[in-house]
Amino acid sequence: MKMSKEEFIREVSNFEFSTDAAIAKLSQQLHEYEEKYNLRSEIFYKLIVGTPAEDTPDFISWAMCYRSYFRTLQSKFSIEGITTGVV
Amino acid sequence: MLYDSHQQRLIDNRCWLIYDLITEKCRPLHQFHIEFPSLAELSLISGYLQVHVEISRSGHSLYINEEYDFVEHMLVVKVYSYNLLDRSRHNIIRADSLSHHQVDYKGHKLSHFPDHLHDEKGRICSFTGKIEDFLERASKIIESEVQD
Repeated sequence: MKMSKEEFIREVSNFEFSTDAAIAKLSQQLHEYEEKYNLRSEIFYKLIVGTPAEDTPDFISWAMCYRSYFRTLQSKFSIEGITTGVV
Repeated sequence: MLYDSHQQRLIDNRCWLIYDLITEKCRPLHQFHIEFPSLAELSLISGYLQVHVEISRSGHSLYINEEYDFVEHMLVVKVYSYNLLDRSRHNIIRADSLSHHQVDYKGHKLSHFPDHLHDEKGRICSFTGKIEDFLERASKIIESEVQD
């Protein structure tokens, strides 16, 4: 049942999760939060994050997901910029 | 790729620590062992680990969320949220690092501000910020409720 550390590292490195797949997954999660709260993520982030209203499990996760989405998106475009010679 | 090989190794190690702690303390369902590596891999790309663990027998579940950053070659858990839910998906306890609370429910300064824990009664308590301490407390609650 439980993997050893070596097995675990091997399993993780065997997966081939692409940056695009990660962006799609995070985007899907953002969409689910938007549907649930009837609020767009950018509005949520501007209005709620950094205020006491953020202190709920969903909102903390939503904010993390939102930041991670943009961080991953940014990395994709910086990589594409390098490979296409765009500075 | 967002992170270099050194940073990826640090994320790998962090994910292993969490996997090891959860399997040792909480008896997750078999599915957890299958799914966790793909969650770890997503965190290698996004810097965000999110885990939902169903606990066998008891019906409890854990939600673990961590967002990572790197400061001088060290991995830092920038923001986290740890949640223990009952079988009806209601929060029992949860811990996070948002800086909205300065004092505990008795009015004492938080010992590890901004880390804090919302206890079974929803009260704000001091918390070390360590996931091992959260899982220790969660496992005791799960054990006590299984025995009841």
